[in-house]
Amino acid sequence: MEQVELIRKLMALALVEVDEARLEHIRRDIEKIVEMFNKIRDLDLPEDLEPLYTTYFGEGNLREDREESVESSERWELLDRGLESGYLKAPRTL
Amino acid sequence: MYPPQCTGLASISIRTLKTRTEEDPDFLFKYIEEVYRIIERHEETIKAYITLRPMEEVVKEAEKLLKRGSLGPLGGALVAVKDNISTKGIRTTCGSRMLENYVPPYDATVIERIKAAGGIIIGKTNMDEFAMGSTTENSSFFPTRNPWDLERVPGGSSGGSAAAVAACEATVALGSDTGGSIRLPAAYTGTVGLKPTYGLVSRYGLIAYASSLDQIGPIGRCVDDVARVLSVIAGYDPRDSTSLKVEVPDYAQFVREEPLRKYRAVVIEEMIAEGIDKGVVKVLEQVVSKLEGYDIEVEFRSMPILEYSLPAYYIIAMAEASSNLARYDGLRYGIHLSAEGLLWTKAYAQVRKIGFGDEVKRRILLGTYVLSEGLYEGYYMKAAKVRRAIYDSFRKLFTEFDLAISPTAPTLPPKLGEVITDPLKLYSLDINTVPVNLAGLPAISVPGGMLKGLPVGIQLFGPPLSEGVLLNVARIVEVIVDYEQ
Repeated sequence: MEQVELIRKLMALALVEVDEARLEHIRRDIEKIVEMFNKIRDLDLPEDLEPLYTTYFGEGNLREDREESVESSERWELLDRGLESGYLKAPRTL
Repeated sequence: MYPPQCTGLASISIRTLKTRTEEDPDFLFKYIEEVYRIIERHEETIKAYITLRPMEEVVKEAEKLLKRGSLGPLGGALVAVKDNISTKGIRTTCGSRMLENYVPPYDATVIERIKAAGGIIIGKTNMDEFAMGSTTENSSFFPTRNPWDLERVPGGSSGGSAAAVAACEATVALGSDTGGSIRLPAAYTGTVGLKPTYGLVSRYGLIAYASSLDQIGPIGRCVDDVARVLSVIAGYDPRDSTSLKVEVPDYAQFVREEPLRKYRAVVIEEMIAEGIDKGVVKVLEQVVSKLEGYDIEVEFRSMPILEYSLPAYYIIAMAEASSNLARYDGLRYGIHLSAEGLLWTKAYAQVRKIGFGDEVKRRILLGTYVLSEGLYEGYYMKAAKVRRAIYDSFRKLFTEFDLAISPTAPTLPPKLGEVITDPLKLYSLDINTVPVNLAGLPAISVPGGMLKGLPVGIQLFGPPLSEGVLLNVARIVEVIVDYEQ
């Protein structure tokens, strides 16, 4: 894919617009940065190395789950209205 | 050693301020007047603050504090707060047009604690937009200048906080550090900046950039001030799901001029290798040789995985940013535009086009790129594995050593405009600070000497919750540094 086209696709996905006049400038910068990122793509790491997503190893402070009654039919009615062939239809973004 | 703006009464420490105010309550008012005099004289050039509170408001709070009967551990200290930390009733812009008029309805936990401990918020400081930058030139409003040399940057992204403290426009400051944003400006402005262990300080009320890396920490003119602020802001907070349930000591007790025990320190060769200014390395070597005189044993080790820390850090930070910043759409957060007749996607994109600056857009786009189908494994997953390898390497290293020593920044502070146009040059300023964030470790930057009339920061870092050791050694560095060189 052409690089400018790739940037346009990313802009659509991220819902971020860039002035046409700045597009070439942003493309050049992104190209340089991706080149820097590529350094780790070729790195050989042990197969069994687990990815690390956080360095927090505490107990966590999540709220306790509370059971709620869903007696109100209002919520279900709302869902029903958006259902199409058993699926909830969301607005199209692209 | 302070820059030329910082003189006399305004340069005192928290301890002196508290003691002198306890002897004579009027002293606090004299101090406030002196700080505002400096602000009046120099702020127009330095531009550390986005929002400065009027002196009358600050004086009223000082009066209330004195009536309270106890000055608290902060003793009326004037605290400058980075503009990504929520302050009830005080505008919090995050350095962005997107939040230009945002006034939070609540205080961040750190602000609640600062106020309860006798600190007075003096204003909100300039920063790179959404903390994305290393020079404070990415602020949507204006760049901040380094008080040591007005042609140079103060570092970033907490550049306003560091510049305010260095120039004596505040007693201490709060910053946030995702990849070096407290330590880099501390190094460039000759101040002391501490990034705590991940989870030690609550992030409730901090506007998120990269949640697995962000931490709030103090900046001060001396190690003792930093220790005092850390004692106030550290500790468990049920409102932050990553808050650690640990006992918080009085960190000031670690601020001693001699080692509290025998320490073993390590210099990692990759952190003084190619790309690090030779003069900066020389300053580090001088500090190391003096520490050895204090019976602190220093050895050298190699950690080759650090070569990959910069791309791993930026991939992770940008991926998290692209998700965290999705909320700025003009509906939930951000500027409101008329969306009449527009598709909702178009309306969101318009808000984000106007509200975000180039660097933020670039990072959101790159974050989206590394998370996209087909690329996720090669970039984000690989970066998370590199993160694990770095974490494991540090873990092993710190079974042998109590702390590590490195230059904080690879070079002296760049001139305004010097690196901002080249993202790779800009990102490389974080080369020695990002590994610490990836591993969730505590680190402090303390002035280690002068080079060509500018301060050079030395970074000390250690295993999780080793803040006490770092403060102890940082105080020793403070004592041994010879500023005349």
